[in-house]
Amino acid sequence: MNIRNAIFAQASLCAAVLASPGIAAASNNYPGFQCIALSGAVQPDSNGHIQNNSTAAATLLCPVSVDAGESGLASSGTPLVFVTDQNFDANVCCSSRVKNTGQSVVSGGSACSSGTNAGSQSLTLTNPATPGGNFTFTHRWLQCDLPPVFSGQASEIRTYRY
Amino acid sequence: MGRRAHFLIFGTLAAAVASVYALSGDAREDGPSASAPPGKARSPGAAEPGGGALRAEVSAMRGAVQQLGRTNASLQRDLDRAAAERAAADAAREAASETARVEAEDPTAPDREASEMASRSDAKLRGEPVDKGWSREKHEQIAAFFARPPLTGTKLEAVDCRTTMCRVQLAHASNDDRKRFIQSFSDLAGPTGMVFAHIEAADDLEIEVYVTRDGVALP
Repeated sequence: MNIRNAIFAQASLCAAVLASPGIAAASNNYPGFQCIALSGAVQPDSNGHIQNNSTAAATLLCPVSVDAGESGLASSGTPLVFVTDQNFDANVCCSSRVKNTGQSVVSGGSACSSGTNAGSQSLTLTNPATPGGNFTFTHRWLQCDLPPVFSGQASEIRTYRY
Repeated sequence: MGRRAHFLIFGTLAAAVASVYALSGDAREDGPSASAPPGKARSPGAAEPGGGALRAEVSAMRGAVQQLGRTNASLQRDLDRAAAERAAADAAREAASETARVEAEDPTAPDREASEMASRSDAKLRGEPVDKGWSREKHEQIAAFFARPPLTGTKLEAVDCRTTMCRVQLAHASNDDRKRFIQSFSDLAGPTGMVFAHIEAADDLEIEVYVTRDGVALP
């Protein structure tokens, strides 16, 4: 094999590895205040978290950046949410969702916090399958339910990783 | 323009020039032998019998070469035009293909991929035996889920749970009821399961939902 062939073979191997759908894209960290309320009322705080200080539960949608060329299941990683649950009656529950341009929605099952404390809990979410694989307009997001304030203590989403 | 066309044109020109050159040479070499016997020099001022005909022939060949040059230029223009037209046609075809691809993913287009996923899910479910313990547990969970007050506008029509998956048929009273259901439908699965709501159209109120067992992906 001459040098040109060797270089070509190396380049082909690199291209094949980079193009492989089995290689997961790097995860990104997002501050909780990226989430917006689908229902209820929430406020960001100076730590970059998002809190529910109201007396009603809130449902939040947290955006996830999806590269149009890598929008399929294999490259989307494992979503992780760091939350604070300070409500004794209800938990913080989150799911990871995906949708293409049609009407159908696919969701991973809900993962919920347990117990009640002022510290952080992490929720590992199941990444849902994309119907049919990669599509140009596949979009993903996390959905979380934040319980209402309890004895003056607010529950919150601190940060999330995708 | 293609390389082959260039070769053709230049080859033709080269052949023509070579022919003219050869004929000129013939004229120079053949002239004296035609006008004087061998071994005898021709006098400088003597008239050359047939010389006028040869000059006329050479002149005609030069004219032919010039004509070939003009033909070459004309062919070149035709080839350039054809290449430009082909490039434009290729670009138009590519643009049409891209438009078709984007239109296929238009939000108003039928959700083909979702339909295929529903078909795969139905096929998988049909081929499964019934795990009685898990099936009973899921039936109870699903019934409890739909007993929630916000879901009173959603009627549970049928539930079929087997070993790794359930198929749930629902009828919503309105689009708002369907939205309320979708908002909370991830609670139908465990933390490592999946839920798929198959909705054909924006006003589709009778839908199927597929719920997988923990650790099982949708097909």
